[in-house]
Amino acid sequence: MGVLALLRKEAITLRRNLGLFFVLLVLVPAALAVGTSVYQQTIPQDIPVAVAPADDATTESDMRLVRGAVSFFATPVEYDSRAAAVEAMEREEVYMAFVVPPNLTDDDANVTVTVVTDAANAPLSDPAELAFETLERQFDSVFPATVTLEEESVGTERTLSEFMVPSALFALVVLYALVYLPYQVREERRVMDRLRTETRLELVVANKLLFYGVLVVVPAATVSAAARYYGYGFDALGVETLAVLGLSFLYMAAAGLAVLFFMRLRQAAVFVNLGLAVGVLTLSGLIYPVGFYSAVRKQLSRALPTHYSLVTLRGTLLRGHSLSFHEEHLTWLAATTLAALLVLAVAIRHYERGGVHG
Amino acid sequence: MAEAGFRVAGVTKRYGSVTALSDVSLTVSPGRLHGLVGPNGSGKTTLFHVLSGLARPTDGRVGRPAASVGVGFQTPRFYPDLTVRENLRVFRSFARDPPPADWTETLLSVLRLDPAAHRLAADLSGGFRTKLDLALAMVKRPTFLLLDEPLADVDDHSRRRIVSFLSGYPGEDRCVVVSTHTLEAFADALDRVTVLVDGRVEFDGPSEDDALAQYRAALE
Repeated sequence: MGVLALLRKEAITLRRNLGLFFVLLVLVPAALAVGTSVYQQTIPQDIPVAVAPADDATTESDMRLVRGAVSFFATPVEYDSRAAAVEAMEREEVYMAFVVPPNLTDDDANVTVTVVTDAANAPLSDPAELAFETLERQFDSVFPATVTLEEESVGTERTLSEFMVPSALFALVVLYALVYLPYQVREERRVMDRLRTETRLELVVANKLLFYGVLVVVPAATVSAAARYYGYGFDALGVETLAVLGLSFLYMAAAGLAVLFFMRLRQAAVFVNLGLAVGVLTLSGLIYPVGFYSAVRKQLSRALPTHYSLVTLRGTLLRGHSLSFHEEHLTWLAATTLAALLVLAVAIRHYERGGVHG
Repeated sequence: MAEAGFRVAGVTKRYGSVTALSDVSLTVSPGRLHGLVGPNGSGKTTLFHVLSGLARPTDGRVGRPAASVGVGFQTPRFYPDLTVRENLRVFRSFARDPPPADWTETLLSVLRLDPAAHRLAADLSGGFRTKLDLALAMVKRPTFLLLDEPLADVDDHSRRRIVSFLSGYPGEDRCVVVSTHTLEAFADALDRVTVLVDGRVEFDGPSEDDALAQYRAALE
């Protein structure tokens, strides 16, 4: 009898918190399942690669031959010059660059195709080696000319451990902004009505964003100390890296708080934000470059601001890029931040219109 | 010159199909301890939320004074992870022109919050929570003080002290509005009584010697 009564009580709790249980037991597992489908192969099959002419003598036929030859494992993207292709690679728009010499169609010519890889992109180094060996055979059999492949690495070489540092730092900022901060604000839900009578909620929230945003310096300093200890040779306390972390925190925290206020500080909002964090961590290219994803997932990832945060963070931290190098990404991140803050303001208004809570 | 007070004109508040307030008109002026009384569910708390700006009327108008307003809640509202003293310090800092620091000490003493001053608000018992909420409402020494059930869970001795303290608070320039369903504690101190029943004002006028009899007559 006692057991039945207790089970009935739990059933009532479930019915009263149907939204929460739906998020926890349906939406979050669904997000996880969808997330796993992103990883469709361990060796990339349609990774974006750059194809650029070595000089003015390279013809469209030469370019076409290389595009065709690489398409068995990659999606070729054409660039005007080697420099443009390498820049795109350092922005993670492509993951290799093929520099195409002239005379590939000449039976008697001996030509060298240069394959440029990014030394900082550690997860890609092994697949690149594999692709390189296969490519050599492919090029030799397909092209009329006698072709030699030459591999060239640009940038500072990073180990997988070094490569993972910005990913770990970014993952922490995602959880901090999307999960911890909204949770912390929810913990103060009982004081919200008093705050509304004493000041403006927008001001309270802005102060929280400022205070917890400044605290992002602390994990950056911790990571810097660890990097120094391991001799990684980069510093997470650089102005560029802190700017990217700060901006990323701001739009994610604003989005997380917007969800919270739209849901009127209900417990389910914390789980919705947890689901968002899982989605963001899964789709942003945290470990594997998005080139590993299927075409649809790649599009999805590249529509997420968090992907650009991560690319820019890797750029400033691992490659020592300036902010101007990632100007386009930063403009997109700034626009995202403004939009998130606007949505947050609307969410707060929605919360206030709900009257007195709890 | 005394501040103009609250002016409530023809206010109706509906929650879906439920009408919490129906065509309520009321004036709250300085120099009074104003009792807003009625049985449970009569609309007192809703009217409080409308007065404090936390709820918007469905119909009608509410004019609020420009002077400072302190609000005490039926369910105490404070930062749970701050101590009593830290809560008071934070909310005092919101005031544009905060009163002298000894006003905070006065509140701690009169409300008998001294023993709990360094305890986390989350750890307080019901009575102390109510008293902290009252202290927070008063910490900026507001011109208008709106208190919703300020004696809930408070012991008898503290009740008497609180009623006595609130009786002397209005003077000529300030006003206290107390919402309660137990009129007995405040009956002798009220200057004006408004009786709400089923969301309607059944009586609104000066308090007489026997406010309790006035209230019962209004209910009948």
